Amino acid sequence: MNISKTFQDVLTITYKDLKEFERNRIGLVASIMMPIMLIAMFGYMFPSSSNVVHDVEVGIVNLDNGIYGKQLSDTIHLALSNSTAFKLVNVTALDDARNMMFAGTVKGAIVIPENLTQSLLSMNRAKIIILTNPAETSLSTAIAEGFNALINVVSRQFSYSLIARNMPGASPDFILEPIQSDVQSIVTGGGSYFDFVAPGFIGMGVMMSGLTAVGVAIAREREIGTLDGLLMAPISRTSIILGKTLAQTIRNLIQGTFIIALAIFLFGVHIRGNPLLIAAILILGTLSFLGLGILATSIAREQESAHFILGFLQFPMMFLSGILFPVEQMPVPLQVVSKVLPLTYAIDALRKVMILGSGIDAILLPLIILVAIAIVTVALGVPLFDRAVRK
Amino acid sequence: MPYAIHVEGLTKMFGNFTAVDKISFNISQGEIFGLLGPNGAGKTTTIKMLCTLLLPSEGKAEVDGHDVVKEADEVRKKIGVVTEKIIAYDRLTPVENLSIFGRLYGMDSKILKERIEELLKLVELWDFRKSLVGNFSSGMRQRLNVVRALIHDPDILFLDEPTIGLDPTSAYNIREQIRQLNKERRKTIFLTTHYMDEADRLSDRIGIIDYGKIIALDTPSNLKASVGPDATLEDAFIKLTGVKIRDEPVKNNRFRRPRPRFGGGFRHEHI
Repeated sequence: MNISKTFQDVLTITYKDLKEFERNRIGLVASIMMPIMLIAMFGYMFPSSSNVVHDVEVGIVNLDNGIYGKQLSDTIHLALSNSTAFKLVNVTALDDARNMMFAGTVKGAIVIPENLTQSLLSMNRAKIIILTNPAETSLSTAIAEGFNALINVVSRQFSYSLIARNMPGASPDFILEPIQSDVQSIVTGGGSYFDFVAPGFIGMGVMMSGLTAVGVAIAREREIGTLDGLLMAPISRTSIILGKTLAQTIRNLIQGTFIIALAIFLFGVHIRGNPLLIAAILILGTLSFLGLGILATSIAREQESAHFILGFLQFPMMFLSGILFPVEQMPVPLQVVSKVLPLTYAIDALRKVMILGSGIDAILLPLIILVAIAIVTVALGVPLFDRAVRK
Repeated sequence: MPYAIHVEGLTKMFGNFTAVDKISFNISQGEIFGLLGPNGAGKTTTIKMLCTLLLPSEGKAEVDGHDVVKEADEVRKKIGVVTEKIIAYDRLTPVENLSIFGRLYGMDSKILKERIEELLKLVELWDFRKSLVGNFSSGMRQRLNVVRALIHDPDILFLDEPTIGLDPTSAYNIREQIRQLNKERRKTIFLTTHYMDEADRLSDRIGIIDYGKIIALDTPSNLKASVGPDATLEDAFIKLTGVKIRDEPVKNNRFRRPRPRFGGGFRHEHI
């Protein structure tokens, strides 16, 4: 089969499918509105859900060389020594802590500023910074609340000692609250729960339509009879599949753009990363879901079993890919399951780019995994489809 | 001159069910051949094997000298098929529908444009070229379905119940076009139908298939004469196949998807 003819055939089928999509206005609107509705529902339902957390790693940076910095750091360590919620990780520099947070190795950081001892000795109020990561909204809320409370206790103890020493010249404000905590986000502008759920549901929308798209489109053409028309034309089976895949990818990209635009407009979602990277993630995500869908529909000999297989893939992805809650917070067996779901990687990458403004180097691993899934599933699915249609 | 269609011991099994059982026949170029048979006799399965939509289990078939399995693409270029289900996209216009299929057949876009105009005028759909096929009546759809099969000017036409469910006028028009294509353009035509009258008037020769086997193959007049003077083709058909009604049996449907649909009925899915 001549390559340029195959290429032309692919484009013809793509064109045809896109024309059909374009004229199916209701379907188009529904596929864009569904993720928007879900973002709205969950964004309003759990404005800041602080779930019970466990084993969350938090960095602690002591920039103070004086006596109080050491004392404070020891107190925090001691207070959390038996905690199942937080685990402290010692970090030497502020930039290291930020980098670790961007990479996800720690979820938050406590920073004791360099002038702490000096301020306290000169009877000025000192501030301890709690750094949070808006890409992990439910965790960042828990970290902010937990450490706020802890620093409050530490501050109160300190104020008792001040009172006991009967410090002359200290202002009542300082005596009442010598140490204050200040919650800061690692990205400017903070982040709402909308910021957190939006990438999740955008990823889910891509998954839902990608997974079923080619299978359903082929089943539909079989049902109305037009598939026979394509199969009787002198074109390769591969061009039918590839044409449909390309059409669906373009459709998903357009759909994703609309959803993101609506999310920005309606819910004030922030996009900090490069839009081209977001497009790349949407394309690769779509391809890997399409591949899975083609594989599933080719293996299944009939429409009903295909629906079963697709349901089997869809539901775990909806709940275990970190759309609503961070994967790290799930029980270990479920975390293992989530590691094999392509949606986990798509959402992880989307979140890093959209919320943290990460560059390509930070999302290289998820991108490579998505490419691998797409290649393997399409390579297996196309010949299987070939056999299935001509039996 | 090679046969337009050459079939030898062609067999198709679906699991344990033999849909087509070692059939053999030849069709000359320029001939109109009618294949008749009760529901489930194997008509559609035979057509699907000849059109490269189904792989034969045994035997061989050649269309215009090309093997339907080994040279499927060559066969596909030579044939035009009017299937029982209408091959047209509802959300596209007739022009868009035809141009997509024309492009898949590798047609030059200028020739294709002229061809589309010619064909749509031929079946009186040119005035509706800008409306969506979804709004068409069943007669209009079937006319489009017929010209779609003609878009690449194939030498051999397969017509699987081309007039089913049409009103007498539309059916008459389709039959006239079949006749013209054969007389004026020398197209070989392979036709299946449930209308005895249609088969009688159109076909040069008629094959009758029952339980997957060809039980008679002759000219319409010889088939009628074998029953008696003044006999109709229907008399001959009933005499050969019997009067017992064959409804499609409920078979083991594990492999339902690739199975062709037998029998007719109205296309309720197009309403």
